[in-house]
Order: sequence, then C-alpha cells, then structure tokens
Amino acid sequence: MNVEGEILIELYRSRRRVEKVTIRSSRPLQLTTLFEGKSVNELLRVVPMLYSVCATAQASAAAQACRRATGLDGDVRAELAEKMLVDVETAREHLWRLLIDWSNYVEEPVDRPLVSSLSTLLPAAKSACFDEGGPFTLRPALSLDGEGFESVIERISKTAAEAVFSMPADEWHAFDKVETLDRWLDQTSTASAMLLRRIRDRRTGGLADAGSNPLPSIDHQALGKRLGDVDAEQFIAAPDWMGAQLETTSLTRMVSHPLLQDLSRRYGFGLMTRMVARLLELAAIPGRLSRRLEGLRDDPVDSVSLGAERDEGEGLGEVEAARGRLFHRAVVEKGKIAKYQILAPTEWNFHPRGMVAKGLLSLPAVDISLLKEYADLFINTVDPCVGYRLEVV
Amino acid sequence: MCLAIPAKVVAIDEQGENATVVLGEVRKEVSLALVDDVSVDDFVLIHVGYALNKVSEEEAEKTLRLFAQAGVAP
Repeated sequence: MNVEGEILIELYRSRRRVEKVTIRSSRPLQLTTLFEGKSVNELLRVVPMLYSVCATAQASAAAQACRRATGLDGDVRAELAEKMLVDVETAREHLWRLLIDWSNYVEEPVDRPLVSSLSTLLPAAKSACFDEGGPFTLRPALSLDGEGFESVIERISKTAAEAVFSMPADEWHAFDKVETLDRWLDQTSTASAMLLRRIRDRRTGGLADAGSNPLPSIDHQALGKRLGDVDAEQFIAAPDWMGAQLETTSLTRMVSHPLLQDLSRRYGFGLMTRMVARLLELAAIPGRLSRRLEGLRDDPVDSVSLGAERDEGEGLGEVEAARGRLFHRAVVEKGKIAKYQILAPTEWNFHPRGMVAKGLLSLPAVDISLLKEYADLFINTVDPCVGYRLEVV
Repeated sequence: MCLAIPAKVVAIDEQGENATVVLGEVRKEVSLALVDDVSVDDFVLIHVGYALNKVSEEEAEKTLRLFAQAGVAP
C-alpha cells in the first residue's frame, strides 16, 4: 500500500467539455486510530513526526486539542507564539511553492540555494520563542528572544520582496485595484509575475471559476458533536457543513481584500484570483508577525500557572494551516487518548462534489493536453502539495 | 493532511539536485531542492517527489514502526 495515499481525479470528456468529474481518495485518514491508548505527551511527540509536511500546523492543532481536553489551555501568550510559528511555516510553504512550482511553470531556473535556505526559518523561529522544551507541549515554556524573531521576520520579508514581489511586501499588499496589479505584471520579471502575466495575456485567468463558498467559523461544540457521531469516518473523508460543500484555502482567508474583490469582477474566482490570493497571503505575513511580536513584548510575563492536569475530557484544536483550516479532536480518558481525529482542509476542498470538482468541470476540453495543463495548474493553486493522479477519460 | 515517509538516501546525482532513496523494497528518485547538506546514508522524509528534511536513523525507524503499527508500512 502507498503510505501517503493519493487523490485520483478522473475527468470524463465529451466533445468540447468536461462532462463529469470523479474524485476518489486513498489518503490514510484512519491513521489516527494509532494514537488511541497512548499518553497525551506521547501523542504530542508523535503527531509532527507522522504528519511532517505541515508539521507545525499539525503540532499546534494537536497541542490545542490536548490542552483543552486536559484543562491546560490558559497560556494565551504561548498560544500566540505558536500561531507565529504556524505563520512562519505558511510563509515558508508559500515561498517554496512560488520559487519552485511557479518558476517551473514559466521555465525559469529555480534558485536552489535560496529555496533550501528557507528550511532554517522554523528552527530559528522556534528557538527565538521557546526554551529547549519547545512549543506544542501541554505546558510550553515561552522564552522570547525578540531580536532573534525579528531576524526571522526580516528574512521572510527580504525573500518575498526580492524573489517574488520586486518591492516591499507591505507595499504589494496595499494593491487594491486590478489596474495596479496589471502595471506590476508589466514591469516585473520575477517568476511569479511572469506566470500571472502569461495567464492574463492568454486570457485564462477566469478558468476553473467555481465560485467560492468559504468554510465559516464553526462552533467547536457543534463540530465536536459531529465528530462524535457514528458516521464520523465518512464525514472526515468527505465533509460538509449543514449539507453544503465548502472551501478552505488562501482565497477564503483573503477574500475580503480589496484587490481580490476587484479581481473577482474581472476573473470571478478563477485561476488569477486564486493565485493572487496566495501572493496576498504571503505579503501579509511579515506585518502580522511584527504585530504579534509586539503583542508578546507588550506583556512580558513569561510563565502562567495552569493548575493541575485533568485526566478526562475532550478538546478541539483549530489552526489555519498553509492549505486551509485544520481541526484536531482529542478525547482523553484516564490520562490516555481514547479517541483522536483529524479533519484536514484537503478533504473539504477535494470533496467529490466540492470546489475542485466544480472548477474542473468548468474547464474547456477541446484539447486534452491543454485540459491537463489547466487542471494541473488549478489543483496546484488550490493545494500545491497534495499527491494526486489526473486521468482524462 | 499529508504524510511524509522516512527513506534512506543511497545515491545522489552529480549536480546534487536529486537523490535515489530506498523505501521498503522500492527505489525512488526525489528532489533535494528543499534540503541542504544531504549525503548518502542519511535519512530524509519524502513527500510527492521531494525530500522535506533530514531525520536521524532513530527517528526514521520510530516513524516507520508507527506506520507499520497502523498497517500502512511501505
């Protein structure tokens, strides 16, 4: 069996259009049963080892869930520092994909030393926030090195400015009109600008427009109840909320940005709007990290007394990971994990009747190779690291 | 969310851009674009064609044991 699993996407073509899309997943979603019977501390150690693609987001969701289940969720400052680490991971993930995938799409050379140097961002950020016990434990010990964290922010900012935007990220984030973006596309020679320019000039920016139906804020009690139902496995494999198939991506997080609003009038929620959403999210991260760092510095109390650990309870963790919103649910009995579940953004977005299926269904299918090219770009735009196989039938 | 699997590096191309890794009985080519300083005999976590980061042999073995316990060993 393939450990990673994959998503098999079949496009059924008839004449000039895609007539039907099927999406089937062999992702090993029930791996979490492995955690049952383990101690909470063991679970927190193992989760980032297994789910190491977005290990920081996974570890953060696990820590939140376990702290809530055991009554140890009172350290607001430590959780803020952990959110900062997730932001750093999101920036790294976006930069990796822009510098590798988007460069490959326009056949530009990948700056390999720059790409591999980004792997040191998270270790530097962690050691600037926590003592050697690290984050994502039941009782993380914050130990802030503000200057150390500033240098992490500076590296993200500098990389984004030089390799993606050709200008300071915060100035790019202030773009609010399609015309401003158009001027930037015409004047900029980074791979990101080249790819978007090509999409605009080939008039493919509106392709794969399936609208956007964002996952709303979800009440934890209601979600906990849903995950406790007898058909929870099916729900995790193909989630809906109140019967609706919903999306959770960079686009849904950034959809209220004025530039995206303006772009949606020209391109709908097609390729261009989705790709710009990822750039906007990257551009927003240095500023958000700086504000969060100031928040930690303004309240320099490094330890919180959390009281005794409960050995029974249930908790939900929620994290905005690079690919979308991630939930973990932990049920603890007699100090051990009795039930553990992960609801990942991939399953919302790649629901058999969800946003990806609808976007693919809308693609022109006159030419098979172009159809595959558009489909690949669209899937990469939604989730650049999902393992999938695409077949045109 | 996505899993990454530990694998042992058995060869690296001349440019240092790609590695051959062994995963159970299977050999795979992976890109080394995301990691620095990888050598033959190192263990790396791999996901959809990329080595994500280096891990110790002990961590690799622990992770593989966990996959095996879950019945999804490579």
